[in-house]
Amino acid sequence: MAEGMLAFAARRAGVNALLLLLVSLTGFMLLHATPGGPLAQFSLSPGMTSERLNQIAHSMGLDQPLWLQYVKWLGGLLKGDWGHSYRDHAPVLSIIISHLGATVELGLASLVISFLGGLAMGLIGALRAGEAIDALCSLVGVILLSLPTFWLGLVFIYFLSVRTGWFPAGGLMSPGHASATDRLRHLALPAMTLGLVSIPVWGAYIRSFAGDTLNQDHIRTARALGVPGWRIVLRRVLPAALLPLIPIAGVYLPTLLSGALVTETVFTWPGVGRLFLDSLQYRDYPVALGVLMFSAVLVLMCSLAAELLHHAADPRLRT
Amino acid sequence: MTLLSVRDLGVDFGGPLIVDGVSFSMKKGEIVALVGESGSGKSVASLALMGLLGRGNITGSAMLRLNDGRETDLVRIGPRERRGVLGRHVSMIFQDPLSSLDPIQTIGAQMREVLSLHCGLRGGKAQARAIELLHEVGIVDPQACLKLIPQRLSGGMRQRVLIAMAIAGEPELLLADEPTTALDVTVQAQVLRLLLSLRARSGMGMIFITHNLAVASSIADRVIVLYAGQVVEDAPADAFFAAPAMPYSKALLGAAPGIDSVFGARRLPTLRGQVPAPGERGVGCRFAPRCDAMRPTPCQTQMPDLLTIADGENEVHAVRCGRWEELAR
Amino acid sequence: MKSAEIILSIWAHLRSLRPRGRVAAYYIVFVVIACVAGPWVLPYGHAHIDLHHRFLSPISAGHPLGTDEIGRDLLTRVLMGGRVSLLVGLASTILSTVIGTTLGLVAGYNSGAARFLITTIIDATLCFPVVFLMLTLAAVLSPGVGTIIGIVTLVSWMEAARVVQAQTRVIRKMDYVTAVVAMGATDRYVLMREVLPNVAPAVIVSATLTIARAILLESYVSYLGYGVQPPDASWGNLLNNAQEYLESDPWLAIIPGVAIALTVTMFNLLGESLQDAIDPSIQAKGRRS
Ligand SMILES: Nc1ncnc2c1ncn2[C@@H]1O[C@H](COP(=O)(O)OP(=O)(O)O)[C@@H](O)[C@H]1O
Ligand code: SF4
Ligand SMILES: [Mg+2]
Repeated sequence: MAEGMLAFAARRAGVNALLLLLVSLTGFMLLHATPGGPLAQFSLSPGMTSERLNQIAHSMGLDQPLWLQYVKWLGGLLKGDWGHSYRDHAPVLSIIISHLGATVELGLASLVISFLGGLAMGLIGALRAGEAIDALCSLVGVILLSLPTFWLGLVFIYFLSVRTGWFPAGGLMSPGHASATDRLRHLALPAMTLGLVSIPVWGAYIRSFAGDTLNQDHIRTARALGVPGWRIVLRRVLPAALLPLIPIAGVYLPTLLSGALVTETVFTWPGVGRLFLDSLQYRDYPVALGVLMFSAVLVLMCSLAAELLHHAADPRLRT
Repeated sequence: MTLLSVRDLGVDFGGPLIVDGVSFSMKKGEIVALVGESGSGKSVASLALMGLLGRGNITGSAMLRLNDGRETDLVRIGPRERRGVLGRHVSMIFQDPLSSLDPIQTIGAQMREVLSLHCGLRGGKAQARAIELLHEVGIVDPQACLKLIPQRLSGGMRQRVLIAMAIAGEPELLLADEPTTALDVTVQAQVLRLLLSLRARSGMGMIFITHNLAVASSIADRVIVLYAGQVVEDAPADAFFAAPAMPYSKALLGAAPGIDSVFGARRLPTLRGQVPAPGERGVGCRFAPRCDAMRPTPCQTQMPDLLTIADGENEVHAVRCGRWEELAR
Repeated sequence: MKSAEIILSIWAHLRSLRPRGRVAAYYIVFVVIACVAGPWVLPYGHAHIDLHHRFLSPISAGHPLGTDEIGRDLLTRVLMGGRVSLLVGLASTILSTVIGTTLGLVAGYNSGAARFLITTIIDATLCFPVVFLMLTLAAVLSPGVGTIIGIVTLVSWMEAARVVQAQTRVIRKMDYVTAVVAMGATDRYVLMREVLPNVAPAVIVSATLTIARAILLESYVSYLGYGVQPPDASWGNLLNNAQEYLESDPWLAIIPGVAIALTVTMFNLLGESLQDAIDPSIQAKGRRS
């Protein structure tokens, strides 16, 4: 990498700014410039006259030139005013935040599952590189990577809920029950679904980083000095494999949202992903646009946080 | 007293022998230079002794006499037993001192690990001992050094740190694979002096691997020349540099004019042709294709044995050449 | 002549595939043939409704995989769905490979603004949760096979671009390319004659992996109801209503899902094996020496 630190920072900032602008512009244009546009929801309701429609358009500022609407909307975003839902007029930002908890819960639980699974798979593969178990791990990884999330969810529902009754098939909790075990039982299947399909992502990186580290001279030195194998793995291989994973995690974590969206649909999990789908269905464009922008902001925050964390954790980057 | 006795050491990776019937022995506190061109099998032989090859088939034996009088065969011991030997009785340092240290742990953390492992020292005691060791290997500000990561040290300092870690368990034998090759000439001389002074103080034996005869002449008590996996000459350093018996040794020395010691010399030896690849060896002497003294018989027809040509009290001298007697006249 | 060389080298790579990859290749050929020819051979049209034979379970007389909620033959529907899913996968992969390779060549060959812009767009697109973007697009555009091909292409071209860009940068700096340039070769000549043949194997690997991902993405969007619309079948939309009947007729969900999972796995395995065949060093890299 001949790329200097400054060029890298510039590129990073460029990517971030461009991403936000790109998402906001495409999102806005898509939802406003297409046939039907933001008014589609109203024009479908019975007894709607074109006069009344114009009135609504005017009251919502939809009769202004598109670029002006975009600028106004963008300005509002920056001020924290993300508009109001067409459905119940609640502020978009607070709707998103009220759905955030469920998604975070699902995301964290699946993250724990996928990370631990990936760690085990990656380390086994690296430590037994070239052996049968390494090949098996990579095969399992490819299969997990190829499973459609929604189908895996349905399979889990059928076998672990419908057939056996071990876990509930969906929802955040049983009505009237607010116990922790009840919530965990509801969380189990969606978290497993989303977690399993993400295992190979971590597994592949950890396999590769740990493998690189194991081939380095300092591992040989440690062994030449009599350091036991488990200690080498714990103190040298693991930190060296996890450090470069931090920035990758920063990029990867937000993409979990895609998987969360599908998982939330299968398990009727009231998170941001379902909110997005519902708002698309009801043509509730302010909310859909809001979620789109929210995920873009999340991408930026995650990658920024990861970068800071990476700098704090890697002694080579400290000056 | 014998420290290490290697008998018929052989290493292959499923193909031809990379190390082929290597035998030698060394005394307590002796420094043996293992010399030979790149590719002659020096590293493979030393890693085989350490059990660090990973894969490959190792045959023969390497009996190491420990300080407490026990003997252990470095070729045969199991992994668990080996962990008790490595670092405590045998240590090894390598060519590239930067990559030989963990880049993301401080020197202090890496030294403390070794100290707790081999000396049972923790906390303040480990810290004090680490400082002492770093001082011993000539690091000027040990306290500051302990807080740094390897990246921030110069090459010479890193090699000193590695030496400090290698001697922390007070081993009887140190293997050093080209430990000065990556260093500047002046730093190289300093590190060699350090190793000599450590030997003088602790009586630690050393196998010093190098392809540089000037380096060998400035540190070795004895020189063992490896060619294409075989020992071709084994001689006391004085005798070797004064009157090498094997044409290969002569050629090596002849290609490096004015060898005195590394403290003065500049050039590395050069020779026409190169070491035959393991699969391209003839039946006769492996040096024959490059040897000026080669005669079709016996050189190309029969593999010469490693013959002892002088056997004084401390002065064993052996050579592998079918014509050494003719040539000595 | 160059293209003959490329084909020869691809053939050589194919022959040196690991057993895993060969199995995958056979499977893919089999599935393609089954999906293309199957519906002609089978007695029912994919939209043949038979209300007297609803919810037949698999291994029923005349319906090896059973029938769905309105008595359509599931095997026929799976094969018809396979046509669409494979078509979407193939078409969007070809499009993304062409687009990605072109952009990658431009970004890798030029330094400065063009590279900065393209790599920035690649990074930005790569880190966005793609399903959100796809659904937004699918929701406002009129649904259909063409639309879904376009959408999948839009979120799939980056992989080829990234690979080609990196490789082009390396090849550009090679001595023999510098020599050719010094002798007055045009950019076009260098790109077509020196760079393209060398990146071709990597592009084929990335395309194989892209097909796998494209099939998966199509299934997501169709499952969520924004992709291929009934009564046309695709592997994704066969699962549309399956959740409703999960309790009584689980095979309606399980069978199309197996088709997706198996096919995507095989494309991924093929890509992985091709990668190994092209660059054995990657396979060997993890091995301890
Ligand atoms: N792990 C290995 N597998 C196969 N061959 C090896 C391996 N390590 C070294 N060799 C071969 O053994 C020979 C001797 O190598 P080496 O001991 O490193 O030489 P030296 O250290 O004397 O320069 C070389 O021909 C090398 O290719
Ligand atoms: S045996 Fe012959 S070829 Fe070999 S070193 Fe002696 S003289 Fe030279
Ligand atoms: Mg060596």
